[in-house]
Amino acid sequence: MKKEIMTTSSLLIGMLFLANSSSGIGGDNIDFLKTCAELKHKYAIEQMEQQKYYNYYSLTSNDYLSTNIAKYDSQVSRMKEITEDETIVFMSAMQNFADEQVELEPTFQKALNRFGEITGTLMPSRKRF
Amino acid sequence: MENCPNAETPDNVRSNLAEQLISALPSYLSPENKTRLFADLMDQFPDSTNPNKVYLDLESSNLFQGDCLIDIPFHFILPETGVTTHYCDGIILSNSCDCSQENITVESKNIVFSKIYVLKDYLNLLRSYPEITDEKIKTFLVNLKSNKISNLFFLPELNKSPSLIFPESFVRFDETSFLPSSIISKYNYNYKSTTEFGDRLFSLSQYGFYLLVYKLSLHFCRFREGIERYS
Repeated sequence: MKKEIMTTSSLLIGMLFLANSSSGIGGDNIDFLKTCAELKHKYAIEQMEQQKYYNYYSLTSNDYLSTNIAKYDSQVSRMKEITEDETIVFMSAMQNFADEQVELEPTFQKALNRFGEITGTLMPSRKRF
Repeated sequence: MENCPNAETPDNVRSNLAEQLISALPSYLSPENKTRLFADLMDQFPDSTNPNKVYLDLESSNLFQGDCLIDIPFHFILPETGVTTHYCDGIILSNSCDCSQENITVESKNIVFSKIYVLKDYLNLLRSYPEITDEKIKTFLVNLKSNKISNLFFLPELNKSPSLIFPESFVRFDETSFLPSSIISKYNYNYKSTTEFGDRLFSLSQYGFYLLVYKLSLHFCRFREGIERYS
């Protein structure tokens, strides 16, 4: 799950930088596409295809990419930290629930055992077997 | 950055988190139902006090894990009288596949039930114990309704206007019984209602089922048992 969170966050953050790059840079786009492929996230790919506004295919300068990737990495780390924190909060709630399980007090248990002896009926409401 | 629809705002972070958590929910659910279950979990977990969130008539000829049937025989032993059988409401602990009529091996399987107790009657009994104070009962109720008592699972009242179908109750996981599926097939799987006779009182909703299974796992399966099983 952690890995998946990292991927989603990475892509979303990656999109932030792409959004700033509307100016054309020129050159091949293989590095960029490769980066996208490595991200392996359908949502981001769809977004890229849809949002021609950001002119992704011009993001081909290695210098430009490396700068962005450095920024991207730092943002990913930050986002990873945030999402992990949030996830920990949620998972902690589940775990706390497990940890907070208590046993029934002995007197209540004794009463419940007694209750078991007197609850119910000696015959079913109709014969089935 | 201003033009970016995916800017890192708190809302987006929460949205992303929600997306991730949804992906961890049962894969057979449609995206829409995953979202609904997720919303219920965030809103209700771990309470089972809202009947609209816990129960659902599934309108199926099959039984499911978490279904409640009437007239299930439960046995107990007393030194004076030996084995005695009482008939009570029981909730199905067996998984839904084992209950399915479509399962060709179902004839050879047993269906396991846990006993259901009516809360009001239990409270009346508790009040007859001098050492049990009102304060203790209050604490017990809070713990029961938030499902914090290990062997108990709270079930809210179920009304189908104008009739009370099922009173506030709780399941006791450590009191079980079983019946062969061939016997269970003689029960009437219709839901009990004001107009129709049926042996099934309720089925659980997606949220109710999720909660039941989580509670079952906490009660019966503890990986962190604290015992080193090596010589």
